[in-house]
Amino acid sequence: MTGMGSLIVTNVRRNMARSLLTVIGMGLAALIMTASLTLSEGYPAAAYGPYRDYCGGDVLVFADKVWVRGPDVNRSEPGSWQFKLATTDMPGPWRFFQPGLATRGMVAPQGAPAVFYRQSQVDELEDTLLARGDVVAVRPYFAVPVTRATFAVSAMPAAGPPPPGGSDQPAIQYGWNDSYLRGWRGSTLWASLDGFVVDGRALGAADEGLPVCLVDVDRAKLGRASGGLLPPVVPAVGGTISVALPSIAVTETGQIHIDHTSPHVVELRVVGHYSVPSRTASWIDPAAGGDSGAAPPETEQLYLTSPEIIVPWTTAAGILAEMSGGSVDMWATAVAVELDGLARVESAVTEINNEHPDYCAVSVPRLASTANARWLPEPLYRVPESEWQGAQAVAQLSEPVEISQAFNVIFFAVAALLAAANGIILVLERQKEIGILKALGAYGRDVIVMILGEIVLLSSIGALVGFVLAESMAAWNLISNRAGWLVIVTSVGFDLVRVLGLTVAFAVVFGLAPAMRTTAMTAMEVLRRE
Amino acid sequence: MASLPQQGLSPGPILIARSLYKAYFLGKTVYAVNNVDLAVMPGEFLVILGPSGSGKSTLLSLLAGLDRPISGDVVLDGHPISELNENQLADLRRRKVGYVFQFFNLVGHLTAYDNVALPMTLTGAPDWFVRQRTSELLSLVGLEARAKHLPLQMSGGEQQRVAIARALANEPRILFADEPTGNLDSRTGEQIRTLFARLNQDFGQTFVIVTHDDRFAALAHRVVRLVDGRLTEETRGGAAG
Repeated sequence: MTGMGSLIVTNVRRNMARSLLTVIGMGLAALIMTASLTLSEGYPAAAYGPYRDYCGGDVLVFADKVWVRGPDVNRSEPGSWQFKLATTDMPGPWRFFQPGLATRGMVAPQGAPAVFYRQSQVDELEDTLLARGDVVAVRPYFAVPVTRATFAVSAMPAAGPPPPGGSDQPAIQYGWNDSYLRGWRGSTLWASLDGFVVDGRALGAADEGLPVCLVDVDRAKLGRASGGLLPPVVPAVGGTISVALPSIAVTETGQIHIDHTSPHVVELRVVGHYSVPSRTASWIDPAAGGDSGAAPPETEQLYLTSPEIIVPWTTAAGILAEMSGGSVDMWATAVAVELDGLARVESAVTEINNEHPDYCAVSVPRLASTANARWLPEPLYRVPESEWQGAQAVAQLSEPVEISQAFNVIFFAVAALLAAANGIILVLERQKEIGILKALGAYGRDVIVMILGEIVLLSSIGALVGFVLAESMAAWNLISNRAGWLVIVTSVGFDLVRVLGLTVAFAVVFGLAPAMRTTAMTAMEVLRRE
Repeated sequence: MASLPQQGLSPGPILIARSLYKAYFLGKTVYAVNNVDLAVMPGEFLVILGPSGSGKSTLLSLLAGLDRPISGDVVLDGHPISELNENQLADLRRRKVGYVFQFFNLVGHLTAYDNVALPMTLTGAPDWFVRQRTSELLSLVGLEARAKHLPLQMSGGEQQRVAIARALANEPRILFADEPTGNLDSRTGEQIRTLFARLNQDFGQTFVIVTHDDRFAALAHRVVRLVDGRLTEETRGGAAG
């Protein structure tokens, strides 16, 4: 084998052009394979900032499989209503963030279990998640459905504070049937809440336990666009909102039962308005461009309309105690998990789902992108109505098609074919050499060892080059997302084994077949083929 | 037609061919080798003459164990080829057979030195032996100065001499040559013929050469003619005395 080993090296060195071409081909294959295996996950560090701030983390872990209204709504079995989040037709905007608490009658139908975390579960989950190493913080996310929230506004139709000196118009009562009361965990998130407040003031530590709240100012825009279905106004800053809350009890089976028939009413003072930016819409107004129609595209910042009435965490706990008669401990709708970076958030979601099969983890970027792609009722009030369903808008807001996985498979197949083709060509291009070696008395296994040795050597070098080129981008993504070094090293190491192994394996397997076929022929048959 | 060994040479034939057949199907069955019997004695210089397409090259590849007949057998140095598996046959070729092709068939990316050393590399011979033997062989064919040259940097005659040196590398019991001068000019052809004669006379190297070059007959102990795959005539060569 020493002689054969030196022959392999001689062949590779002397056939520099062929060797280089093979290395480049294998490098390209490895580059594509690395990209398809590693670059498909992860988000830029700054992506989905407002959503992550608002949710209090990068991943939301719900206490149960998410319940949403499915296509078979007439069926009575609860199981038939069960869908994984973000994979089915989900109505409404903010329900993506609170699917377990969506509007009564829409989600969690009569008799179906509404499972939330109890404090002991939250503690246990928190310990497990923090032990992962890539989890920075775990924040319970509390929200409870509101039976009806009513408020009076004396001026029409403006949103915001009443005009100076008051208004001589009689106050008009408005109501929301789809609101939630959300407890905001101030000790860690007051700063991020500040960024959302546009009128009045944010909540602070001094508000803990007080009956104060924030409401979404953009609900007024949504109301104006709804044609009377929703109030066109929001309660003014300084005004009050009367919140009717359901009774809550723990059933014998340990599940939480929500009863809207005997509500408890809580008066909350509105201290500020918040607004959650979502994305930028762009459209072309043909009227602005005259006959040519060559108008420049117009853009507009859009906002999600949240039905959440935000109260301090301690206030929410007090209200919950009142709703349950003190029988229910503080509990959580979901648990928000902040990771050390967004680069591996989808992997983390998969791992959490595997570790906790009874729960349902979803990444906030995935929730937000899915919600954005589903034409949410955002307050699109500047876009001309004629253009709202136009080509540009429809293209932007069309139903999402999950093609990234398909592309990954295609890229992987291309890379595998490239590696396989390199292996095959390296054999077929050398039929004469194989014939000569056989004529000189080389064993078939010697020829195969020589050929495969060259394939392994060249494909390993090429795969390593391609891997380094592609993986450096993935590694940079990890580093820029402030992933831990252990995560980076294990991730890169695992990718290296996969890419190197797969690339070389494809080349060897597909090179082996023609090599074996050729060596099975007599020397003269091989030479005659040339 | 059975070809008998010459009297006065060693008694046991080194190569025996019995009822050899080789056929190809080209719309109809064509016999390239048709019922050939032949024996070659050690140290003999046998020339097989025949026109183009008579089956000379096919016969030579069967005799050298590079190909297998559809019927009949070849016994090479006491080993019936039909009874050998591919590895045993490769071993026999490696240790007992030298083969010179009409078109040299050197490995293009290896130097003259590497090409000559190649058969020894396959036997796992030690490096010092390979170096010494390769130098001797290149010296024998007059190409010491061309050791580092690639085949494309050499003339046809030089390439053929490298091929001959390669064929002699493992001291074969018998050397087969397929039209060794067929691709060379007359002066270079003469050099090759002279080299073969010297190897036969000085070292007792056994030769089986197929050619349509009548000038080889002068060097041969025996000349046989092949027409349409059949041996038709046998005469004494110029070296038979």
